[in-house]
Order: sequence, then structure tokens, then C-alpha cells
Amino acid sequence: MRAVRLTIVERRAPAPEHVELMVDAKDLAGRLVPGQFLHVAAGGTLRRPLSVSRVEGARLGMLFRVVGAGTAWLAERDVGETVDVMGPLGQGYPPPPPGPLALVGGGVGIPPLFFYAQRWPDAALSVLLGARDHDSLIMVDDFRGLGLRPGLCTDDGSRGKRGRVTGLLRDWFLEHPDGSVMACGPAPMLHEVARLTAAAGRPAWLGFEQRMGCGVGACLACVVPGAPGGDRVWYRVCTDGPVFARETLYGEGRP
Amino acid sequence: MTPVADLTARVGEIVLPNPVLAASGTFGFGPEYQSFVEMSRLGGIAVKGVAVEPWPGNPPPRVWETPSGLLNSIGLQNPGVEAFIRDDLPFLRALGVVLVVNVIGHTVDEYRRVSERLARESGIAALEVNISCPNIKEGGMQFGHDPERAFEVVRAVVETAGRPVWVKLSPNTDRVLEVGEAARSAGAAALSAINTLVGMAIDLDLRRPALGGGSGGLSGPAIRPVGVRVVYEVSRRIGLPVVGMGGIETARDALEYLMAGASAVMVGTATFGRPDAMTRVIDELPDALRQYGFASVAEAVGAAHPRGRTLEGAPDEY
Ligand SMILES: Cc1cc2nc3c(=O)[nH]c(=O)nc-3n(C[C@H](O)[C@H](O)[C@H](O)COP(=O)(O)OP(=O)(O)OC[C@H]3O[C@@H](n4cnc5c(N)ncnc54)[C@H](O)[C@@H]3O)c2cc1C
Ligand SMILES: Cc1cc2nc3c(=O)[nH]c(=O)nc-3n(C[C@H](O)[C@H](O)[C@H](O)COP(=O)(O)O)c2cc1C
Ligand code: FES
Repeated sequence: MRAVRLTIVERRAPAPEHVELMVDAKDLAGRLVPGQFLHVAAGGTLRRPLSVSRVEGARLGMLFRVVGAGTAWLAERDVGETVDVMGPLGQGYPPPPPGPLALVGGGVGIPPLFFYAQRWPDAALSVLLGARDHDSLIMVDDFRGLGLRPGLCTDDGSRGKRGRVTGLLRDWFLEHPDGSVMACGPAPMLHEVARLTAAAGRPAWLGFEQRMGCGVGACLACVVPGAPGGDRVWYRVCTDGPVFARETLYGEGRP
Repeated sequence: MTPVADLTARVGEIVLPNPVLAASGTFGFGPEYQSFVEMSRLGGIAVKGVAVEPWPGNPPPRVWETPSGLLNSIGLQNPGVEAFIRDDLPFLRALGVVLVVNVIGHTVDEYRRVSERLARESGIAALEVNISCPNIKEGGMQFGHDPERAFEVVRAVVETAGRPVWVKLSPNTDRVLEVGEAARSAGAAALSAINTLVGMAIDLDLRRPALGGGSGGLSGPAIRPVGVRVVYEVSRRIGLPVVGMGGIETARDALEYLMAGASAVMVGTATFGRPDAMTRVIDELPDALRQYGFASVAEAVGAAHPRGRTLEGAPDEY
């Protein structure tokens, strides 16, 4: 594994403020596990972690929201230019466990779950997506293209139900008491998913964000707290995660 | 054909194949970067600070990008010296690269105990004493800001180390020369400089300091002029070799430090952006040396000093 320069072959604008760069990924595409990330040079001192949003043959996608200097720099890249990436990095989601499985995504946590759905076409998947508003609810048509019918909600009700995606998950568990969950999104959403799945006694894997330095486990910047009384005080999102089994961070009890 | 520039670097009695080492805290305990960096080509590796017991470190966020730099408040998280010896030292020994172990503590005794424990282990070229740690017996004042406390810490490590001791200077004090002199008189074999500069950023959305630890240490190109100034002064005034660092990204940056008086250099933050930063500096150094008229690293060391006034008594020039 080395830092490699990948050529941009397509630049998509799936929603306002969002860009998806499709790059020619050479040998990388085949080795990726959904939930893994790339550490992308973005014009500044530090790289920016981005999940892989999809793989199409030898191409892979990175779908991001423009939130600051680094993502703005990346959004200005054009077809034919290259991006400098390290990866694939980190631990992705496990294969689908037996039984029904919900993919629960919030905002820019949605892309790695789309890659998951793409990778596991035969799984018994339900997709639950939430975001703050209409324009932030991304990749809905991509999921539909896979024949899935995502449940939708927004904080302001501008698309789908008004409310939080964890509300959809609570309802889903009523119909699928034997279900499992793969989730990715902001920390408060993941805490609530942890609480709901623990209460249901069902497994969950959670994809976390944290500010990163090295991306490879060397600098100890990207930590999230382990379960109280557990093996470790901190886990590194870049190498121990970004995807964690719920028990690792929340323990065996009910958070 | 022009002869190949001699990259050999000497820090006291330690001979390095080239003058470029990984800076403590930015290169973990060795294995993390191995699939991205040609480890065997490095001049040396300074590992993350090691304490007598595990330290938990600070709450996240622990890094925040700033103009041409980086603020960090890792809080010296480390697994403690026993875990380091058990889990990390075998790998580092097998690499065969010059190994420098960075030592941290909250009291003089804690520093001493790390040094004592490491003295029983082979494969370590030098200890680097990080004196930028809060002294819990003196209300958290850093050892490195007080020449007397610095003397005590360095003395305790030198007495027990059984190997050369480097002392890493903090730039956050106007007494850096006094502290360097204290380290020399306590028996240090070399000085390394600089550690990070204390800074802070505010998260405008959250209306609070951006880093979980409040303030943090600034590193990267933004601090290079400060590092060069400290290396220049310390190498002229204190009769010890200096390992220079702070914002080095290219061979020219490294040459700037060498000419300021550094015998070797360390690269930290640049590795985050470019994992091959160190090997690129090594690859490009021969050309940089030749371009500025040096046949070797040794020739470049201190080349910017005024001739004949390399030690004590030189006037300040700014
Ligand atoms: C494993 C992982 C996967 C991610 N995948 C995606 C994705 O697929 N799509 C997407 O839009 N975003 C994703 N993010 C978040 C993305 O990394 C940040 O939005 C991005 O780094 C912001 O950079 P910036 O320079 O534009 O913003 P700024 O706020 O200016 O960034 C300043 C610094 O903060 C860091 N930072 C800022 N926000 C975050 C954040 N939420 N998480 C981590 N670091 C942050 C930046 O990396 C940078 O070092 C992911 C984060 C992680 C940890
Ligand atoms: C994330 C991070 C962690 C660090 N940890 C340590 C440490 O444990 N001990 C130490 O002496 N210096 C530590 N430093 C300081 C560096 O070794 C170096 O002195 C400083 O970053 C300046 O060099 P640079 O600009 O090349 O990074 C750390 C720096 C960073 C950025
Ligand atoms: S980003 Fe450096 S340890 Fe995770």
C-alpha cells in the first residue's frame, strides 16, 4: 500500500454543495471493503478522510459535502486531474449477518452504506436515510437504482417524514425484531442507534468520524472513547475503526 | 561525474547514515507507517514519548489544522514503558534503524524510572528527554521552562540511561539558552529543538476552544523560522550538537536547519501530508547540498554561523 495518484474520470454534482469524484482506481477498487476510507490530500497540511461511495469496475467514488477549505479544494478538481490518496484504510463493515439488515445513514454518512448495498445485492436490506434537509438527503436515487426503497426523513420535513432517522429505525424494529444494523452518521445519531439496538438486544456496527492526523494509527489524534470498564480507554477511528461493533464502544449493557 | 555528497551525520558519538529522523509523536512506535515509508532508509526514528505508566491523553478533538500548520493536544497518550518494551521494541530492534526513545514524566523520579528500565534493553541508540511535560509537583509548570528543574530531570536520566541523552527544548520560554546550558551541565550529549509552540484555535460553531485539551502545540511550516532561530542560537552558545526540527518539508528546509547549526534534523508534521516526506528529503538532499556548494552534510553544519564565533559570548544579532 502506498500513497497513489488517481485520475479523476468523472465529476458529479449530485446535490447542491455536494460533489462526487469518480477516479480510476487501478488495483485499489477490488480490495476495498465498504466502510473503509481514503486519506486524501486536499491542498492543506493534513489530508481529509473520505469514505468510498461506490465501485464501478475499476473506478471508485468519493462523495463529499463542501464544508471547509479542504473539501472546497477537492470540489474544484476537474476531470483529468489527479488526486493523491492513501488507502484503503481502516476496518469496514462485516458481511451481512443472517436475517434482516437495516442500513441507517445520516448526511455524509450515507455514501459508505450505498457502497455496502452495492457490494451485497442479495442481502435482505432495508435502507433508512436521514438528513437535515432536502438537499442533504443524498444518494436516494442510487439506492432506488439497486431496487431498494429507502425510508426517508429530514429534520425540517422538506423530504420524507419530519424527524430523525432513528425514529424510522425504532419503527423498523417493531416489524423486524430479529434485525441487525449497519449505521454511519454524526455521533449523536450513532449514540441513539447504539441505544436502540442494545435495547432490542440486536447487533449493530457503527461508522464514526473523528478529526485525523496521520490516518494510519501513528499520531493518536482520532480517538473515540471505549466502553467504561472495557479493554481500552480510547480507540483510534483510523485503524481500530472507523466501523466498530457496538459493544467495543458501548459495552455489553444498555448505553 | 560529480562525486555523490556524503550524507553521513554525527550527533555526538552516534553516526547516522543520513541526517533525517522521524520526529517523536508523529511516527508512532514504528510499524504504523511501514507500508507507506521505506523504513530502512531513514536516518533514525524517535518514537512517541514513553512514561513509566500508561497516560490516557486528552479528550478529542486532538488535532486542528491552522494556516501552514497544525495544532495538537494529544496529551502524550502512551502505553507505558513495560508495554513499549513488550509490544514495540522487538519490531524496532529488528528494523536496524537508529532508535531514539522519547522519555516523559510528571516528576523527576518518573523520568528516572523510565530511563532505568530502558537501560536493561538493547537496540536503543539514545534517549530524548521531553522536558515539555507539566511538573505536577510545581503546579503543572513545565520542567523545560525552568533551568533548575530541567537540570534535575536531565541529571536523573543521564545517571541511569547508560547511553547518550538528548534533551528536547521547548520554545515556549525566553530562557531556552539557560535551559540548554543546564542540560549540558547535567551531562546531555545533544539537544533537540524545537518542540511545539503553545497555541489555541476557537471552534466558531461550538463557541469553545477547538481542541479537547483547550490549548495545543503548533507544528508544521508555520513554526520553521522559530525552530531555525532556536537552533542557530543554541548551537552557537551551548557546546553540544543540536538536532533541529520544526516545519521541515523539503531538502532545502533541512539544509536551512543544517546551516543554522543542526547536526541532524527531524521531520514530523510533513509526514502526515506526505508519508514519503522523509525519504524525499533524503533523496533530494545530495542535490541541495551540491547546489549550495557543500560536499557533505558535515560541511553544511553551522555554515551560516559567523566565522570564529561559534560558542559562548556571541552577541545577539536581532
Ligand atoms: C472515516 C471518515 C469518513 C468520512 N467520509 C466522508 C464522506 O464520505 N463524505 C463527506 O462529505 N465527509 C466525510 N467525512 C468527513 C470529512 O472528512 C470532513 O467533512 C472533511 O475532512 C472536512 O474538511 P474541510 O477541510 O472541508 O473542512 P474543515 O472544517 O475546514 O476541516 C478542518 C480540519 O478538520 C477535519 N474535519 C472537519 N470536519 C470533519 C469531520 N466531520 N470528520 C473528520 N474530520 C473533520 C478536516 O479533515 C481538517 O483536518 C469522513 C470523515 C471520516 C473520519
Ligand atoms: C501529533 C504530534 C505529537 C507529538 N508528540 C510528541 C511527543 O510525544 N514527544 C515529543 O517530544 N514531541 C512530540 N511532538 C513534537 C514533534 O516531535 C516536533 O517537535 C514538532 O512537531 C515540530 O516538528 P514538525 O513541525 O516537523 O512537526 C509531537 C508533534 C505532533 C504534531
Ligand atoms: S489519525 Fe493518526 S492515529 Fe488516527
